[in-house]
Amino acid sequence: MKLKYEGGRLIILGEPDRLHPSVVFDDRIQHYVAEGYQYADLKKFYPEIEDSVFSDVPLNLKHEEKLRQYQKHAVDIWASNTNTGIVVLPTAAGKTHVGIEAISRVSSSTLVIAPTIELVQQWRERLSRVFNIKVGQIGGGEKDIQDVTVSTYDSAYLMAETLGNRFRFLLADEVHHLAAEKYAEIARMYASPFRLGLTATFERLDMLHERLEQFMGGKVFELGYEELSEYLANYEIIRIPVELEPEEEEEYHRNREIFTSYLRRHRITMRGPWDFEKFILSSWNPEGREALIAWRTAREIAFNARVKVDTVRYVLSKHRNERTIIFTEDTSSAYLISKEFLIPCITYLTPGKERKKYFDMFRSGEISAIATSRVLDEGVDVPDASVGIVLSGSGSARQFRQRLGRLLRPSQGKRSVLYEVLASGTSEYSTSRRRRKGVPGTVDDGKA
Amino acid sequence: MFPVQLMTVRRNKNGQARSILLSDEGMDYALSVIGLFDDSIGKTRAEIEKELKLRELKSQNPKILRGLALLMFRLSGMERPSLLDPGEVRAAIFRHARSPAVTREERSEIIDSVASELQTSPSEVDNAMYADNEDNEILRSAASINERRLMELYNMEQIETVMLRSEWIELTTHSGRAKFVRKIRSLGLLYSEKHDEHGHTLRISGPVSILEHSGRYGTRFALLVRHVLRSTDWEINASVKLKNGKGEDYFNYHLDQSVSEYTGNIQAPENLPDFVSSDPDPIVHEDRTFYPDYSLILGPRKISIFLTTPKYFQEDRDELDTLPGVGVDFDIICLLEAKGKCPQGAICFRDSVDWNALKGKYGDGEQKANIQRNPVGSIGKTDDHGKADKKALNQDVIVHLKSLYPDSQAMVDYLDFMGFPPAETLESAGYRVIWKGLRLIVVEE
Repeated sequence: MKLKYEGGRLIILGEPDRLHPSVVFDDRIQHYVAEGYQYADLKKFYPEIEDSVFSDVPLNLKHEEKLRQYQKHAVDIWASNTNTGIVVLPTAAGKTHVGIEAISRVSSSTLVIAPTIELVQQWRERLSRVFNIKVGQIGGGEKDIQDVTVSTYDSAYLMAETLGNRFRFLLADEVHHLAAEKYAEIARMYASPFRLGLTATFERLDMLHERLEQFMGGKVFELGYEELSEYLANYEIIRIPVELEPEEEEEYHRNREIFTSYLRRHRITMRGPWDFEKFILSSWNPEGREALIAWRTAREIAFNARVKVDTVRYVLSKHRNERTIIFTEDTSSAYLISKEFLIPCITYLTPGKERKKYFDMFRSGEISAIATSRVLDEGVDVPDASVGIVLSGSGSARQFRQRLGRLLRPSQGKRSVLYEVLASGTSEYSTSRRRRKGVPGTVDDGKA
Repeated sequence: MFPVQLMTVRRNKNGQARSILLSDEGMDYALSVIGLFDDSIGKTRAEIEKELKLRELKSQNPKILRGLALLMFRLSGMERPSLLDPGEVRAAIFRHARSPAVTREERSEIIDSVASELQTSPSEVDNAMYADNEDNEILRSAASINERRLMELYNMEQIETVMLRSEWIELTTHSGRAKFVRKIRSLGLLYSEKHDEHGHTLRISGPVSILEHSGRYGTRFALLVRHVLRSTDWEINASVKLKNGKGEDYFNYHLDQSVSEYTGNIQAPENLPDFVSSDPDPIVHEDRTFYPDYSLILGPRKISIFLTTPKYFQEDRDELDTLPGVGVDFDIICLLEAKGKCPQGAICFRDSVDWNALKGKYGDGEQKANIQRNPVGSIGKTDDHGKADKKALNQDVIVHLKSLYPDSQAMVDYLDFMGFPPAETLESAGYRVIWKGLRLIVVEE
């Protein structure tokens, strides 16, 4: 009997005398097959099976990074769980260190997956440096496969059929993304017996994180901001209310009224994302579409209030030469800020090389501010950013914590400030309240 | 194919779904979008999008307008608003602007410095800064297409878009089996098969479909259906996952060749020489039936031709190895795509079969000597791709090849005589090989 990997699944050649519960007969190819993630279980169940799934050789990966006590503890617990499981640590608590130590301990072919190209490039640079090896990259226009390779989630998904048996260790950064239906196929199809997930925000509103138990080994270690305060920079959050200009205000209220009266007429109550989806589904008729467009227009007015640009001007003047990130919800606002203040803009449209260049310039101090939409919301290591300006954002607490986390990497005497610029009298206030729920350090101006 | 958000399907309570395709009644939509583009020469993409949103508001079905506009954007000539390289302009700006330009004066000063460095005007610098942003592109020429053809393209893409949501497809055909199977395999899909009075029915799905509900094969199904839509003699039933009021559910989606009335793109039948049949008889052996792709009729001799690809060559050859004992004359031909390598022991053609050259192989014609079968177990170690190991090449062979260059045929004959696979060996020896039908043209790197 032989176990091989082809087309994204495991194939058993020969007739097994007993069947593992995960195995099914595929009459299209006349063999028993199983999902990739069952590899370790199948090996245990069929100890006699001839295994041709992996063809890699052990590596010797050593590093000299200093681990904090809790980081070492996290890796110990993960290793004792047959090298599988998820570690939850707040942003800036050094998840990358945990990953590096885990890679070193496993010392096998490794694929690190991350949701954005920034994170992928960051992992690549870091791993190349600490292990002094050539690290491959898949995604962002590259396809260079090495024993240790980094990839975007999208590329790992697309290449699951060919790469599913190339890496014994699968390390998923921002692992909460892996629970999404499409990305879960990465976890299912890859045969990697060793698996580590890293995240700051494990729980998802849709509860899909529960499926990670099956594919990644479940949550094995968790610490919160409160337990790590000694390791993080001090911070404060300041809300800056701005007034819409009269014609903006009029236009805002006119559109808002179209939207809310539609909701009233159709007895739709907005209590969460599900209700909003219901509204979208109901908006197929001309009246609904008008309401949807009105909602979008009102939102754009609040996001792009003209006076917000002047507020940014004021904050940038106040923090001249301090490293600053300006967050927007949409790309057009990010480009507008970029053009106005002549600072680089990083959006999903920014080519990989250009992004890297801006980050290098930002790190080295050649530039002091960057505008971005949502692509920097997660995990990107910007060591010395100390000022954040949220020009517009969603009500997601995860997004807010991640944005705040960009400012929390500690350095001598650092005190970070996150400004929220909100259009008075608009729904931005309630959105802000939702996203800041449970985040300590908020200074509220008392406005509703 | 469109983004799935633009899919327009109607579902019924019996679990059936069908695409809303454009016919003569949809002509107004097509005319409106073509008119919008014709009137928008010189406008930016963002401006056209804005106007489109207004029209969507008044439209009965905004997805149709959006889909048609997407096609028009693809087919029309869009240009950047500046001839300067935006990347270079940005690099220059950020080099000059080490900290944000918080006053008007600071901003002007930086833009002026960049303009002077790039020997252009300040306004051109402003224009060029994000000229590569799609929203800033300018419509220079609207697509030259009539409303009927635009609707046909739209309908075709609508069908492909539904296929993106397919879990499996059942394709029934009488005479097109071989052609469809070839496409299915080239897309890395699998199938099971039955044959009855309705014809051949291929149930097509992806390798992991048997283990999980996977949406990963949607693009391949769409490509398969694009191929099918250009053919005749077929019928499709697909299981597609669509939203309904309570979430998502599977619906049956039926199509047959009558849809060409809406998609209008059936290809002309293959132009074959008179000694080639595209409808060969199946070969029945014990309890198995083999379906050749073509047959060659050369006088009293009839040769069944099976087409395959490098990936399936070995598997197909193993399967067909049972046939020689039953007195069937057949051959396997391997079709190579772009950079594909010819497997050991195979006869290969690039893209399509050169029938006249193949005829020569069977002893009829002067081209007999030109047919190369990649020798199995040839001298020199070969890797997985059949590429000869350069180290195994004798220096004498390389020197002799050099003396024969540029006589491609002589080089090939020499290697063939020596027992080396010509194409791979020539590449290993540092030459570039270009296929012209069955002939190899050798070019020095």
